[in-house]
Amino acid sequence: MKALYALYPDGQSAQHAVNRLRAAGLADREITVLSSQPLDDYEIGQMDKATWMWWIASGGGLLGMTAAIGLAWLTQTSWPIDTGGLPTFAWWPSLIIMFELTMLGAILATVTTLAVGAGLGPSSKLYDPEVSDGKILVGVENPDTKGGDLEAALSAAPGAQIKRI
Amino acid sequence: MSLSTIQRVNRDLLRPLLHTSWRFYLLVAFFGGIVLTALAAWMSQAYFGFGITGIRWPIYWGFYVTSFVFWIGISHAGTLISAILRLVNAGWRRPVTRCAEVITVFALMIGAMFPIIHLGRPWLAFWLFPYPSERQIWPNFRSPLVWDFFAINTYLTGSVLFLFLPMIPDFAVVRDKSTGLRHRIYKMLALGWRGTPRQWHRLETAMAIMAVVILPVAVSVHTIVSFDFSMAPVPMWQTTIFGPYFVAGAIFSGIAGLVIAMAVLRRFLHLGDYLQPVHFQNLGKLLLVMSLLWGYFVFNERLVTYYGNEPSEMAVFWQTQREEFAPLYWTMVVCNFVLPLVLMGIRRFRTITGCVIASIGVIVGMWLERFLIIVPALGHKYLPYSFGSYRPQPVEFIVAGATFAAMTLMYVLFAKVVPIISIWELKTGPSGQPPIATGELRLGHADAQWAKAGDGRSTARAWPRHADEDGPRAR
Repeated sequence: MKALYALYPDGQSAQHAVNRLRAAGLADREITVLSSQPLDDYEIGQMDKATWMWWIASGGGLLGMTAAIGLAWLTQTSWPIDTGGLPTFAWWPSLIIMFELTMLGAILATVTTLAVGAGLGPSSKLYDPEVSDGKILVGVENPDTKGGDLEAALSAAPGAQIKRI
Repeated sequence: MSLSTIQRVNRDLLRPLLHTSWRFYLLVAFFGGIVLTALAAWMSQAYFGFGITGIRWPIYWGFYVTSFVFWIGISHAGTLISAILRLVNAGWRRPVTRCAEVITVFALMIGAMFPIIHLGRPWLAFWLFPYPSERQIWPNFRSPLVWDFFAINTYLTGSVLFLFLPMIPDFAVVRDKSTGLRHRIYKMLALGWRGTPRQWHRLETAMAIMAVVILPVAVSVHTIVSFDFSMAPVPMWQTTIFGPYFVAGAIFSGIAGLVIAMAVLRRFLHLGDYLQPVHFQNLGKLLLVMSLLWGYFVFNERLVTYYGNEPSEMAVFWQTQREEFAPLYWTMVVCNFVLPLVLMGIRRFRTITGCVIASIGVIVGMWLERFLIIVPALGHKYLPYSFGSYRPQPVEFIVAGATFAAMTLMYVLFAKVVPIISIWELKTGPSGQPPIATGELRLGHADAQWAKAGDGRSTARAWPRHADEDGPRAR
């Protein structure tokens, strides 16, 4: 992988660099921004914010509840004890099992969505360990022929430390 | 936060991971030795049978079930406190949350061991699990013990994930700061974390969902533990107040456990710049509130029983008020109510030392409370022929006592491999808000500070800028 990137000491400089890259014709999906903390105070921190995670978590909860109903029904009707005319499958005491598995379903769905949505797992994408020291990385992976323009855009912001791999 | 401050935070919080002193090995050897002793005691119990314990008719639940309820209660420290503070976006939570979440996970593990320790034939523990046996006999899904199984496992799974997810960015920091085998291990744990805006958003959304989900689960867990008692026709047990009473007690003991853990971490890991007096004062106020709530529940429970004057209940009632168990009962009242009320209610005593003393008292008092719920009632059920007493034996003292050593050991080992304060959360915060709590972040004080600035559009701007610039301790 080839990449051109710069490290910035603060969010303002990084925001400036991203604005310059956009002005140079790059789309947001072509720009890599890495930081050691959420950049909620800057516009760059709002990139790629939309997520279906709440809905998927709700779906996971529904799935968990369905599994709980099935489990409770199966186990109670598999051994149909004479309950004196009362229903063999009892809702009230099964509600607790249903509640717990509903929540478990929502939790597992959330974590799965996080792992998939955030692209967790082994990766060979652009990274610099100095990000852990608080620097903010702004760069472009596999830059095309506009290398000179990109370098100019990245170096325009104050405190830029240009690197190339 | 400036770059130098970030680097200092990294350095301070990674120090325990990257450097090991002889004290660490000494602590591990000491607490590990106690845990091994307890393991030997438990194995002797499995070999010789329950005859070597004090558990016999009519009291089949003694120290072990007391410890089970106690540790499940302690587990409410982390997730509840952390989830609530996350949801209300309390700035002072940042150094506290992980310390608390760790307690949850380890206390749950210890608590969940007790149903197995309490079995005469622990190798048959799998009979509790809902599996389809060849005889088509399933565990009774209407039993509170099966509810326990589901509730505790859901809570444990949720709590482990709730603890693990915010650790991922911190593992990435350790990955970047370490070399060799350690680097490879943390690289795996960091799961390829880079810190893109997308990853941060997904993580924060996941944590918000987890906080919303884990809160009712935490409440349900201790309510269900209370059902182990209140669903049984035993005097003083079958009461509708037990659910909220147990939950309140659990949060109460959980906060106390958290205060003690934080004080120990502060002292031994030199985290005074991060775990500041204001954190203890805030938790002290919560402890005071929970103490009052606990007192309210006890008053309700006792007054209603006394007024009802039902003979079987009164037999248990007087056991605790003025007969065999009265010394333990009044010790409990002093530890859970009088001590926190005095130490946390009077401002000058609400110091770190005061908070720790009150918390130790609460831990003792809450353990006694669990004991006093279980033993006097089982020993005085309805007819005098079934009355009996309980004399715990050495094996029970060793096993129950060693759980505190097990908790400490796990905490020490955890603090050795994971930053005990969330590094990235410490760096986070609205502009102008200090990354680490200062005196102005006291409970009930922050709003007043912000209101003074009179900036209705952005309260964060009202924060004194120096606190943001000057690093961990606003100087």
